[in-house]
Amino acid sequence: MFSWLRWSALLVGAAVVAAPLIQLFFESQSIDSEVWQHLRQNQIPSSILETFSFSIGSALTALILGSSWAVIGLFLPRLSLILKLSMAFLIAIPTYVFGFLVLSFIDFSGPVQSGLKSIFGTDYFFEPRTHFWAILIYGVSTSPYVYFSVELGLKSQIKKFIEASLSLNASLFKTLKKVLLPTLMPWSLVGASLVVLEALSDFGFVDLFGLNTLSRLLYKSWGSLFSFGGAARLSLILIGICLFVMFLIRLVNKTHVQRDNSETQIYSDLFDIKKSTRLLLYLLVVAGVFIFNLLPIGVLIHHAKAFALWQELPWFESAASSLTISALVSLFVLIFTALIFFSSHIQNKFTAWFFDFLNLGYGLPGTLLAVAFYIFFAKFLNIKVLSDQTGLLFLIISLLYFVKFSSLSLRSLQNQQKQLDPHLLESASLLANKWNVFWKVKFKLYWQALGLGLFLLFLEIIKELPASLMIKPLPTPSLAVRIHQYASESDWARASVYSLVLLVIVGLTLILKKVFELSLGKTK
Amino acid sequence: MRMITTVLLLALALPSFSVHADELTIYSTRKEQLLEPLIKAYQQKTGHTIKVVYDTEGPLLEKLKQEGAQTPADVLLVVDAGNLWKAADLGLLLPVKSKTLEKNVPTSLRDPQGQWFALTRRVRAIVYNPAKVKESELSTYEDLADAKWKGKLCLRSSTKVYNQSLVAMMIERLGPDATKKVVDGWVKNLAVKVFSDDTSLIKALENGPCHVGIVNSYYLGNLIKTNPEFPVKIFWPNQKTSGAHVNISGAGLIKTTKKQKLAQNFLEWSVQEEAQKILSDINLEFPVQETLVKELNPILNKFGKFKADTLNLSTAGKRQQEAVILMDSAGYQ
Repeated sequence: MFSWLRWSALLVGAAVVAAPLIQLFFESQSIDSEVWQHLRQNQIPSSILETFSFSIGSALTALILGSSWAVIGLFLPRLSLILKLSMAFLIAIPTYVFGFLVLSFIDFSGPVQSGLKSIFGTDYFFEPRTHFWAILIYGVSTSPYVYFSVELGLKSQIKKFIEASLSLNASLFKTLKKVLLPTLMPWSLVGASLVVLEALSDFGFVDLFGLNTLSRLLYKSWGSLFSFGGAARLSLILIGICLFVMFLIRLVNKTHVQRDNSETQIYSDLFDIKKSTRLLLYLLVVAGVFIFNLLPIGVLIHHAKAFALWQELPWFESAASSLTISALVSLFVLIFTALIFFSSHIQNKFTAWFFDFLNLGYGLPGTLLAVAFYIFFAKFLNIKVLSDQTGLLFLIISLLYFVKFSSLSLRSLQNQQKQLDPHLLESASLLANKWNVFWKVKFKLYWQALGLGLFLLFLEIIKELPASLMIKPLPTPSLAVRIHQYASESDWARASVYSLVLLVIVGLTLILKKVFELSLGKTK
Repeated sequence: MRMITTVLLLALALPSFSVHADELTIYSTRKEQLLEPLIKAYQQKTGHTIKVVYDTEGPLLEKLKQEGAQTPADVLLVVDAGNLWKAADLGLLLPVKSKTLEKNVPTSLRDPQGQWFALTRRVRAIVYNPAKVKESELSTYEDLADAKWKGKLCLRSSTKVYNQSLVAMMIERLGPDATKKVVDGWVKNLAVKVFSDDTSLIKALENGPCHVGIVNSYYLGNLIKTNPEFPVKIFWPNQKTSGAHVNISGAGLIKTTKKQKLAQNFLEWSVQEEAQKILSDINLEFPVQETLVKELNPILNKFGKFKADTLNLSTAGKRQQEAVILMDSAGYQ
């Protein structure tokens, strides 16, 4: 690609991420000393511990569940669409809505505790808002990040290793333990690292479970102690933790880079499992689909069953608003990220650290980023962002989501890159000009990763709340805003209507993605 | 830089929502479903258009600060006196002189300089399960710190403003040391972890380990609206002393509004009977003065009359930071 375009893309990308971070740094300098002393002495140490235990615990849970779900898919290929749909529906439910749905099932007045009371007496109860439950539920809710990442890994390279292992008469269990799971580890860790970053910036879910994480402390500093400086300073600590997580992932992944082609692989012919094992796996899938999907969807339908609600609420307008914003912005973010990625195709330490820098925004709460952009525009560019400027608001939310979510598409592209033979591109560049190499070779090699990136971006953007609450380029509130609007008042009937609409959109998106993949496959 | 400017200019060139001379813009932290009926009624009555921008407290105040004199906002309409106090403290609000507002809004529920006024009262009440607690056992917020309530009390999280305001007013009245003792006692008496919302707390009174709790009365009202047999009762605390703690939803004019008369008319209409009835019915909050609404909602009537705290609510804002630090030091999460 032309060098001017390469450098422009890199510089603009860096500037967009740096802008809110620099602004937060400046804001962190003006802070009431009494507030900071209080936060430092009484709140921050315990908050950091709680943040670590929650985010790492959730990531481990998601890693186990997401990887297992993907591996089960190898043994039961006929169920692969169900498994994929199951994960897609799970990822479509905002974590705090999923938390509430499960909590309403196991809370003091939920059916589980009511059942137990009828057995053990009316005085029986257990506290469901503990660390254990929070980690378990959040881990389940975010396990699709690991699943989709592992699924990409399975599409590419591992079959050969399994074949080799089985041909050496290794047992199925040994092959799983010594070959499959270790080889899948880089993909599992990529997904798990996304869970960590997601957990770091989560507010709605941790508030529901009363966990004292840094993000909750950040909102407390801002909303209750009236200290935006304190919030900015806490956000810098969050950024520090993000850097630490990225460093750890880099360290672990260093030894696991492997290459192969990116053809979709069929594994079912490799495994000959016993009927009893197959039955057990079927039962696991049924249990998983029940917990991941049927239970929450059932609760949603139960809440939203009154037909009058569907007539009363402007769900169609909100769906149109969400679709417009999510489609336009996710496309913008994908193009911008891809531009940066393809501009820096030479892998060296600089680009590696640069990509890590682009990932920083994922761990920051959306509201804080939105305010940082507002202040940056006002102070540095002397542009007041007013709430009635459609175009400017679209631009800001696009930049904001680039900062927050570009890592999703970037990681897909990076993973795909690991699978490619660099000599292929070198050979192609000898035979054709740069643009032809890009369109006819590179794009085709990366289309799966681009598709996955777009899908993940769309999913994240359509359900993102804090930033979309503050920046509304269209007058009609989005589905996420509507869900929050009613859920925060415990009006679960109306919140469920919008949640179900969101689920339907995600389902349709998934079907579209599948059709697109199939048509591309045929073209090939 | 030239590229950035070009992109920004292009973005600015996209069509914006048009603003008309008789259009009023409100920045609000109230939930849309709780404000829309009021807005519709006003539009029907006056023919004026009202545009509402909804957001949460911190970002909305920050947005107003950044927009400065160019802000399209004419009115700030939020819940909690602390937020109104903060907006006034940041110099975002315009002092207003109005006979209607001064007559209809009690002195304790408006800013002494006329920068903000209450639109509804949100009363922090004690709620209890009559199968576990007798009404005669209840008296004050402070009494819930007594050891006799050990393992029976339930509270909402300290991150929410409702209990922050209650503690802030307590600090003003009792002093920091006595208030700390009360909050320490509450924490020791907790039956389970604090709740993230009042509704879950009330439901835990019905079926869970809680015997008694502190919530805003309208949360119980809304549960009774859907289930008239809901088995949790309300008790007005501190009736023989300071009165029940009252917080508000309220509004003020934005300092830079160019439509002061239009905005003030809206505020004045909002504290008169028609609007007060709408506001009171929609979420079962109390009108700013009971006499303003002839036919109070039956659920509110059933809750009965109460004596309210008469300390000016700006105290809640002034002392909010101190209250949060005190609650943190007591381990109230």
